[in-house]
Amino acid sequence: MQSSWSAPFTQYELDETFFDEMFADPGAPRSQYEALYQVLLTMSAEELDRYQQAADLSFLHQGITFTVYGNEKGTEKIFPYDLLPRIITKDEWDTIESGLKQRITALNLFLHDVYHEGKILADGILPYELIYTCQHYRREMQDVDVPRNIYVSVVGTDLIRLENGRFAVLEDNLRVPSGVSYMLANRQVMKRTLPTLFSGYGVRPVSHYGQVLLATLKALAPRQNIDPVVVVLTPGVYNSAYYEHTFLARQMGVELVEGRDLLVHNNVVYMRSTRGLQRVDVIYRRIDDDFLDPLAFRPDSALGVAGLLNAYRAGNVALANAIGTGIADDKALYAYVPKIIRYYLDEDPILPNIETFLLEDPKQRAHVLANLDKLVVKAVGESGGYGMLIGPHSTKKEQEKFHDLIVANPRNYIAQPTLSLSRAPCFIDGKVDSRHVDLRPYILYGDEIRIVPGGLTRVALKKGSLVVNSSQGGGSKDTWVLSE
Amino acid sequence: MLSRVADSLYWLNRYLERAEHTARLTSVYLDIILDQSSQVGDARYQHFLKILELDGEVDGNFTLENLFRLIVLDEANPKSIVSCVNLARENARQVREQISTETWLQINQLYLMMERPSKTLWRQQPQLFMQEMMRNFYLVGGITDATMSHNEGWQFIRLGNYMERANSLVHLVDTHFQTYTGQDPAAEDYLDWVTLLRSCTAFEAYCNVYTANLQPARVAEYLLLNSEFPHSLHFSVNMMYQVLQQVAAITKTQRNMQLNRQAGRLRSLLRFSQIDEIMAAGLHPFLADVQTQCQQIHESIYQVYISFPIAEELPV
Repeated sequence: MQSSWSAPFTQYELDETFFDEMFADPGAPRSQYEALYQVLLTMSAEELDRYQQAADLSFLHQGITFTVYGNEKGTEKIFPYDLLPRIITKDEWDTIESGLKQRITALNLFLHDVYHEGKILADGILPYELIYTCQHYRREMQDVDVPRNIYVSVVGTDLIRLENGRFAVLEDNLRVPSGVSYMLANRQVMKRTLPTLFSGYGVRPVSHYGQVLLATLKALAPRQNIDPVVVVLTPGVYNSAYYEHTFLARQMGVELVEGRDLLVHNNVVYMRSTRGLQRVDVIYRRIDDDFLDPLAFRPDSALGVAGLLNAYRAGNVALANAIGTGIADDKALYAYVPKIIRYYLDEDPILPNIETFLLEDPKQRAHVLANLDKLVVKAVGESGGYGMLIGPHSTKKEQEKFHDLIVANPRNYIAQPTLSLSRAPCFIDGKVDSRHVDLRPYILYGDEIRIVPGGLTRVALKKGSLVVNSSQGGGSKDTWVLSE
Repeated sequence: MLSRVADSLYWLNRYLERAEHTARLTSVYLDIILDQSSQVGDARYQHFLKILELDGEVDGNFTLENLFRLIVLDEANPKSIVSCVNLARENARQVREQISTETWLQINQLYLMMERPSKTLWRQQPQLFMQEMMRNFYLVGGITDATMSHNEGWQFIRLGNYMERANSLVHLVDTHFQTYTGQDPAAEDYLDWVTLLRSCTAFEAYCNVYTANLQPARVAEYLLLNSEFPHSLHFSVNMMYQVLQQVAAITKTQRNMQLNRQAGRLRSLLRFSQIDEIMAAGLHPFLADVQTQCQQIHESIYQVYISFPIAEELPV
């Protein structure tokens, strides 16, 4: 078997338990990778290394960095970029696109329902407890009508590819998903470092994301007879995604504001400008609910705008995303999403869920507690790869810790079988090796749902690791969606 | 434009101008300190520190490496070039979406050069290092002018430039003339006046106007009152005045009466003053007055555009 591999793939290995993005058999690439494979065979490791360095330098010079919390010096890091693209065929993308549209449509209807009549609860499809015990439920939003009834306008859904090659949804990110700037930066760096590889491959463009985002946000404006003023609200320069906030503001040509630039008077939001005060119509906020308005939520927040919730409830300003959307991406609610899709749309889910154990159910809990060494346990409210137990990679002590945590607060945790993230070839330490990847496409919902063909392929750079988050040593790849 | 953004753009370029000024002085003084016997060299070193207002903070003997570390690379010294560059970049980061990508790349380039200075280069060829740095500073200015829309933000950038330039120039000339007795300089003191001119990139330009005949009053006249030379006080104040007119036109503000008057008054002072009268009445009080007026203009800019009272602006 080993003999069928040629340089630079001589160290490459396939593992039957994981789908390989590039190879069907040793040395035999899938058809969409064939042309890429042929080009790579002509390249030496030194050549690849040179391209990799050119790409890294380009990120450093552009200051495309993120901030890692919890260490003092050198907190600004570049997001590791892998040279080799990940390719998605037209058919695969069509399924992903229709599946995501279906899912987001259903989740929006669900949010509107829960914050109004609550039919799905009254009909017994979902237990009331699930909503009312969710830390992201915002009672303040009850019976509030949001513009166009759209709660989630900007979504980044995490998909993984199972052993059988099918894509499945791992997580819905309906609050403030990040990473889209890396999708765009990766593409730009790819075009610059390997132009010959890129051209002629028929890759669908992603660079119009900024325009689509702006159109989406403008569609939400409460005052539709004027050209609405859109702003991006950032927590500021010390936030880990600050680069992305500036990037998006620049791509859209709108102001990047901080909480201190805004004020609310008579339930109208203004920004403080050199011309005096200027009214704001739509806020693309990159601040969590908790910090948005010190009068309504956390009083110690210095990032928010006092009175913003009331201005929002009065219908004088639109927020993307709405307040309280976190109930729909709660990890315990996730298990019910297939039911939610059937309830509101009367359709079968196009993209499947991962099997999920709810720990409030005594039977499921007993099963999970007995199998902590085989399962993945996640805290329902956390994101970014924090608060997670990966059974097979954990110590006895960690398992005991999670055992106690689950018993103390079962609602706060869910468990899933060990994830079978697919693997893709990556250029690491001078050779091509396989690493686990996921895929986060970005969905926009204004007057209609639009998905830019592509997404962020995140890579777990540590060999064998299943954690792709940038805060935990993940990197990323350019993602090519083919037009034919 | 957001008030906070105007504030950051203004300070971005004040810090850049400050760093550039210090870099130019360092480059000029490295030259003459090395040119002289150790005793005179030491005196010039002290004089150099005085210009940078660092004279109280240094003890120990002069070595090239100490000097270089303190003024160029020491992040603990808020007046060092690296500190100013860091602050400039921090401001640029806060208004990343307002400046062009090309400008940002160049500021980042400068930052990376200072953050990871090539040790062999600055130790063995400090002048080469300084030249590279100066080139980077000039590139920021040139790239900004060439790639950024000449809009309100660009005006605030220039405002920061010229406000800082006027301030540093006043301080430099003031310090330099403290030891001036009114006598024409002896031949060996010529170097001091050449140094002053070179610190403002003015030596060649001065010679073109007055020939190489260096007379302190002429030097002062050129640096303070010449209206054509970009590093003169008069030129800087003229630019400040023009920028403020443009900003007022763009923002259609009604609140700038006082600011307009202050900037116009300072401009007239420099336009109509004569150097012999200034020297007769005392250069120091004249410069102190200019400094005060600059400070007032700075404060008025804040009152009109950046931290204005909200009550004046709310709709009735």
